[in-house]
Amino acid sequence: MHRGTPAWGNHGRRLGGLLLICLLALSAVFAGALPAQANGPNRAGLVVRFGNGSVWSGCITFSEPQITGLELLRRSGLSLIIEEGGVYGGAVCKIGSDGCDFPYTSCFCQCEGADCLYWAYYHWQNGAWQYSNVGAGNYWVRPGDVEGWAWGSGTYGVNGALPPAVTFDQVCPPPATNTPTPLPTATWTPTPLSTSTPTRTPTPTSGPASIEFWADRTEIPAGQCLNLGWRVRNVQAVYLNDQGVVGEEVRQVCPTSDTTYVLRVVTLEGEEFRRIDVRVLPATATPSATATSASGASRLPTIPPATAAAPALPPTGTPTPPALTSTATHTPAALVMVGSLPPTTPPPPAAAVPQPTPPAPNTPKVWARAGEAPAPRGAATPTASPAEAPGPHWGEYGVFAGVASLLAALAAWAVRRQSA
Amino acid sequence: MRQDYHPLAWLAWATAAAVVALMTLNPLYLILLGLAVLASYRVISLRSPTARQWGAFLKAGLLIWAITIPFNALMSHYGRYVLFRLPADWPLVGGAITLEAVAYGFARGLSLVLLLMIFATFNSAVDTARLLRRMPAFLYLAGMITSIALAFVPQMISALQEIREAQRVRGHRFRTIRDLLPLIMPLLTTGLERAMQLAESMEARGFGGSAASISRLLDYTLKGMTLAGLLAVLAGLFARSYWSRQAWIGILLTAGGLLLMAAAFWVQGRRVRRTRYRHDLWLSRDTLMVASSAAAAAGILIARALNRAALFYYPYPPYSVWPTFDWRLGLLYALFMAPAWLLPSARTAQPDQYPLPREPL
Repeated sequence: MHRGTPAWGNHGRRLGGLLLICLLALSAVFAGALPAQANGPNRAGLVVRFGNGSVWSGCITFSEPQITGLELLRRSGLSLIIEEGGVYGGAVCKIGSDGCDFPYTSCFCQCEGADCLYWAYYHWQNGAWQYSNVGAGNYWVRPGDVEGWAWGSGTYGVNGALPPAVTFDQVCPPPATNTPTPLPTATWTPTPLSTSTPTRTPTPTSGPASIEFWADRTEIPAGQCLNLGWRVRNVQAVYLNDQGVVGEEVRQVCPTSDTTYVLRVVTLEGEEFRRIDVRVLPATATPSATATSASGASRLPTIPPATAAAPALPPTGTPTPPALTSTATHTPAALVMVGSLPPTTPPPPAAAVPQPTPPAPNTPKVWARAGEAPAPRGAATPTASPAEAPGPHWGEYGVFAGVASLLAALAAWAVRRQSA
Repeated sequence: MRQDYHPLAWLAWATAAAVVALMTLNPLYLILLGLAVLASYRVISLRSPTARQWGAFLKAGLLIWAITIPFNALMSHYGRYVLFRLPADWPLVGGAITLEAVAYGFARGLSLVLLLMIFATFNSAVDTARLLRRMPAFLYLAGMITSIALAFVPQMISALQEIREAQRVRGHRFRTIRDLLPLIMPLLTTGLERAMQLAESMEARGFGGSAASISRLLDYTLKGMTLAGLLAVLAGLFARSYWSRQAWIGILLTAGGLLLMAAAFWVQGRRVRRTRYRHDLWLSRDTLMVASSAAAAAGILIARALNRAALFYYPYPPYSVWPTFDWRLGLLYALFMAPAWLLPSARTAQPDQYPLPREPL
C-alpha cells in the first residue's frame, strides 16, 4: 500500500523539537531564578506533632540550595509512609505510628467524610503557622524555613491540627563558634532542650552527655500501662526503639506482651544504649479504671512530678500502683516551649518549668542499666533497621521465566492454529 | 454452527479479567495476564472485521505506557536504588532517578495497557447489537439510543479511513493543520447524512409505537417512582461515604431506592412485548470459558483473602522494589487464555452459517 503521508511524521518531529526547546528554556529560566548557593550547610527546622500530643522537632541540614518539603521530612529519619504520585508529588500517609498503612488502606483512610483526621502541613511564616496551599512535594524549603506537620482533625485543604509554635532559632540554635560540630548532612538535633542556652554559655554541646532513662514499673498486669521517661543532654539524636523522639519526655506505653525498650543515643563520640525490660503478667481482676482516668489528668503540664507523686486514692481497695497517676505526662508541646525561652535570659530555675526529672524520691522508678547494648534480638537491635531491603528473589524469577515462556509458546501456537 | 462465543460469556471473561488486572500492580502477574489476553486478542482479530480499528486504539495505549515510564522516573525521586542523578537545580526533574520510580511507572502503565487490551478484545469479539438484545424489555428506548451511540465511533473511524484513502488517491498530502479541512468537511457531511437515514428508517419501522398505552396518572407515577428511586440511591451512596460510622443509613437508602426502581421497571416492562428472530445459542465452550474465567478470578481473590501480601506490590520504600512470584498464582492468570483455545481450529471448522461481513480487499 502506498504510504502517502510522510509529511505527518516530519510535522510531529518538528513539534516535538519545539516542545523540547520550550522545556529547556523554561528550565533555564527557573534555574536562573534560584538563589545562589549559600556557604556552609543549609538548615531548616521541622516540627511534627503526633496524635497523642507528643512533639518531635529537629534541625535538618542539607547541601542543596533548596529541597522539597517532602525531602525535608524524609531526611528527618522518622518512619514514614508516603504515597508517591506523579504530578502532585506525593502525599504523607503516616508519620511514626499515626496515619494510614498505605497501600493496604487508602492514604487518607481516616479522612473520608465528616470526621477527618490527617497530617496537616504548615509553613512558619510571619510568626504563625500558615496552612500550606500546595503539597509537600511541590513546596520548596529554603534555608531558615520551619516546616510543621500535625496529626489531627480538620477539613482537608482548609485547616487542620496545629503544631506548637516555634521559631527557627529554637529548632535550629546557631552553632557555637568555638565548638567544631562535625555534622554530616541529613542529621538532626533532636530537641532544642539539649541546647537551651546556645549563645550565652559558650560550650553548650561540649559538656559531657547525660542520659537518663527510667520506667515507673517493669512488671504490669496485661491491659495496664506504665510510664517511660527519659532526659538526655548534649547529644545529637535520640531514638526509642528506632523511632526519633524528643530529648525529654515521659510517655505512657501499654505493651501487651513482654517488651524491651531501648533508648539509642547518638553522641559526638558514638552511640550509647539504655534498655529496660518490661514484663507483662497475665491479666488479673484488678479494675483498671485508673489507667484511663489518669490519662486525662496527666496531660496537665504544670504539675511537677514531685507534687503529683502523692499516691492518688484508688477508687477501690486494690493496691493499684500509684505510679500510674503520679508522673505527669508532659505534653511535649510544653517541652518545646522550654527551649523557646529567648537566649538572652539565663536558664530559669527548675521550678518555673515542668521538669519530669529528677524523679520524685517517693515514686518507684526503675532506672535503665547504662552502657549496655541491647540483646541481639532480630529487629529489636537498633542496627537492623526495620526497612531493610530484601534483594531480588532470583529463584522465583527463574520459575516466572519458565511459566512466561510456556505461556508465550501456547499463545503463538493458538494463533497459528487459527490462522492456518 | 457459529464460530464464536456467546456475548454473555465474553462479558464474564472481560469482567473477570478486568477485576484481576485492577487487583495487583505486581508486574510479573501483569505480564502473564498480558500474554493470555494478547493471545485471545490475536485469535479474535483473525476473525473479527472490527479488530483493525481497535489495533490503532491499542497503539495509543502503548504510546501512553512509553510516556508514563520516563515521566514517573523524572518526577518521583525516591528510592533505594539510584540509577543516576540529574543536576539538582533543574526544576522538577532534577535529582535522583531511581529504579523504584521506573518500576512503578512500568507497572502502572502495564495495568493501563492491559485494561485497554481487555476492552479491545471484548469490543472486537462482541457484536454490540447482539449484546444490546440482552437488555431488559423496558429499556428498549435506552437500548436503541445506546446502540446508535456505540455504533457511532466505529462508523466514524471507517468513514475517516475511506475519506483519507479517497483523498490520497487524488494526490492530496497532509502537511499542516489547514490540510485537515478536506478531511473534516466530508466527514461531517457523511455523519449528518447517516443520522438522517437512520431516523427515517426507524420511523418507517414504527419505532416507539409498540408499547401498550397507559393512563396519564400511571405514567406520571412510574416516572416519579424512577426519579425518587434514583435520588434515594444517590443519597444512600453519599451518606455511606460521608457518615462512614453510620453505614446502615446509606445501605437502607440505597436498598430502598433500588427496590423502588425495580418496581417501576417491572411495571414498565410489562407494557412491551418483544419477539426474537435469531436466538443466541449457548454452547459448551461458552460454559467452559465462563467456568475458567470464574475459577481464575475466584482463585486469585481467595489467595488475596488468605494472604494480603500475595498480590501486593508497591516499589517504594518501606516496601521492596523486587516483586514476588508464586507459580500457582501465575498459572491462574494463564487461564484467561481460554478464548484462544476453545474455538475449533481453522482447518476443521465448518463455514459459518451466517458469515460475518469480511473486510473489503
